[in-house]
Order: sequence, then C-alpha cells, then structure tokens
Amino acid sequence: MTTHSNLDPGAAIVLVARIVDNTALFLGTAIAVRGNNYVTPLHVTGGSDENLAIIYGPRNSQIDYQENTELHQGKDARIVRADPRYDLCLLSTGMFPAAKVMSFGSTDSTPPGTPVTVWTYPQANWGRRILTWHNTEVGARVRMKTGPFETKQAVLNMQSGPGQSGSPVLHKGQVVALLLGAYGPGDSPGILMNGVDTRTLHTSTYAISAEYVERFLG
Amino acid sequence: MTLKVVGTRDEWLDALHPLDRAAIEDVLQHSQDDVVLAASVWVQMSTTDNLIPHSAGGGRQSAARIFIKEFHEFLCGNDPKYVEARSEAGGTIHPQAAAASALSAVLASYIDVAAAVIAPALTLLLLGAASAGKETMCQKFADFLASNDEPPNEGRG
Repeated sequence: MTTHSNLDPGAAIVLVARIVDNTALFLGTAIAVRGNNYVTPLHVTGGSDENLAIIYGPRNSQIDYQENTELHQGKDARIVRADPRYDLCLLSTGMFPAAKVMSFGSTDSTPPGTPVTVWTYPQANWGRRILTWHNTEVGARVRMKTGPFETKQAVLNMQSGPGQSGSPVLHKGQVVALLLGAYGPGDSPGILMNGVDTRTLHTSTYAISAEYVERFLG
Repeated sequence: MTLKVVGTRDEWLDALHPLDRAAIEDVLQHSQDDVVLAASVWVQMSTTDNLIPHSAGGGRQSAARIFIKEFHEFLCGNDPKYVEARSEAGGTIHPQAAAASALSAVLASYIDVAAAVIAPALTLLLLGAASAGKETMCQKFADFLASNDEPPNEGRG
C-alpha cells in the first residue's frame, strides 16, 4: 500500500470475525502484511482463535458501488504469533492475500494537526462490511502505558466503535498507525446501548504507531 | 507419572521464535525475573476484550489464573485429563520447540487462549521448573493461586 489511489484497499484490509452458529460476528479489522499473514490488535481476538475467520473486503470499492447484501466469503484463521506489549497479533489463513502492506511508518511523522486518512469498516459489529474512507487529523500524540509497557500513540479527532480496531491510519500513502479504539475509564462500568458503550461516545480515538507493527514483523 | 523438566534458561528461550524470545524476556525483566509473575502478565495482557482496549480493568481477569492453575495441574497434580500429555512427555520434558508447542496446544484447549499466545508464557514456566526444580515451582504456583482468589465465574465472560 503506497497510496490510496493505486491499490484496491479491500484486497488488503479485511475483517476479523468469529463464526457462531454459521454467522460471522465481526470483531475488528486486519491488514495483510508481508509473509502472507494479517496483523490485527490482539484485543480484537481476545487471545483466542477458536472459530476465528478472515472475511475479505469488498473489491473495486474505489471505482464501483459496494454490495452490502452479498455473502461474506471467509477463511478460517489462526493466531501464529502475539505480542501483548504492543497489543498485536499475526493471523494466518494459509492463503496468499491479494495485496499486502510491505512496510509501515510511524506517528513520529504525524504531529498534531497532521491530516490522516482512516480506512475502516464502521458499524462492523452490526454486520456492516462497508469499507469507508474517513478523513481526520491527529489531535495529539501520547505515550500510553499498559502495565509497565509504554507505546507511542496518536489521538485522532474522530469517533470510533467496536469492529474498527485494526483499521489502518494513513499519511501520505503510508500506514502510520493502527486504530485501537476509543478511550474509556476502566474504573467505572459502561452502559451498553445497542452494542455501543456510552463511554465511547466522544471524538478521541487512539491509534498505536505502526512502528510497532514493523518491529513485530521483524 | 512423575515429570521432570530439564534444560538451561538459554536452551528454553532458544526454543522460541527470536522475536517472541525478545518480547517475553522484556516482560520477564519488567517482572523482576519472576517467571510466574511474567507468565501471568503475558497471558493477562493477551486476553483483553474488544471494547475500550485502554480500559485499565478490561479483559478476562481470570485468564492468567486459569493458565497457572492448569499448568500447576499438569506439572504438579494428578488430574486425569493430563494423563496423555504427561505420558507423551515420557517422564522428562526437554527444551525443544516441539515440546513447548505440543503442551501449549493441550493447555490452550482448556483455557480458551490460542496455543501461539500462551507458548512464550509456558516456556517461562518450563524454564522455571527446569532451573528452580519442580517442587519449588509447584509451591510458587500454589502461592500464586492462593494470592489470586478464584473469581465467582471463571472462564470467558
């Protein structure tokens, strides 16, 4: 993926799902990477690959209307590696992705105010598979701590919901971050309304610098 | 069947993918070289749920405890569900990728965490059993389980 104009994004940006009673429940988003695997935040899977599947994205979405009623063809997926420090895992379907991201950038190149593009599947948790281009900007960059481990993250000025974790954040055609989700306080219980936690109803979405993906892939 | 775990620290860590080795050694360092603590941190951090990932309290709180409990049963207990796995180990577990991989697959089936996710943590526990001795590690597991009380509903929420 070098620019959004010369790649069919649906070929490299896919959905991660768990198959329950022959129905694909979309959990998040993954990107095809070198080595013929897919990378996604580990929290998307909850650490389990039971009945996990990769659901391919819509093809030619840049030049044609997307079909949202078509059956979602998927492939069984398994976790091949994980690194909880960076909230990343690598999935394999045993198949070769039609397109893949060969290298990743970093949020080091996106100071506050930098315009970025997010390719994402909004409302994926409701079964929607509409690959959508969001333009936003970096509102802040922060060092986030998960336990003793610190990662560089960007705060994007957009709202996000379940199923969007793992969406690529691009700047000048390079993936600079992976969307993780909306910030929420862990010490207070959330209220779910139609599957949406009310704590996430704000425009601070966090994305981890893609440099950790580069390190993770080795 | 009484089990014995052998091998040096480097032999066990060499059995991992080099990037997994670097990652788990980082976790071990942040855990003051306590293999039980590091293994539990690894599993706990790996099993957060898929909503509000930054939530400090998110995730399957009991996954790490279940992992330690199951390994304790395998190594120190006599639960019949591990008879076959113990038998396949042949009495002595050697520092080989295949050994950690096979045991990860067995434990994964009981704790609902992917084998590839727990393999580095499991390697730490095997390393601990090889270096400190089985009896010492069994006591450490018992201490860990005693200090991390069983939640009302263990398993996936």
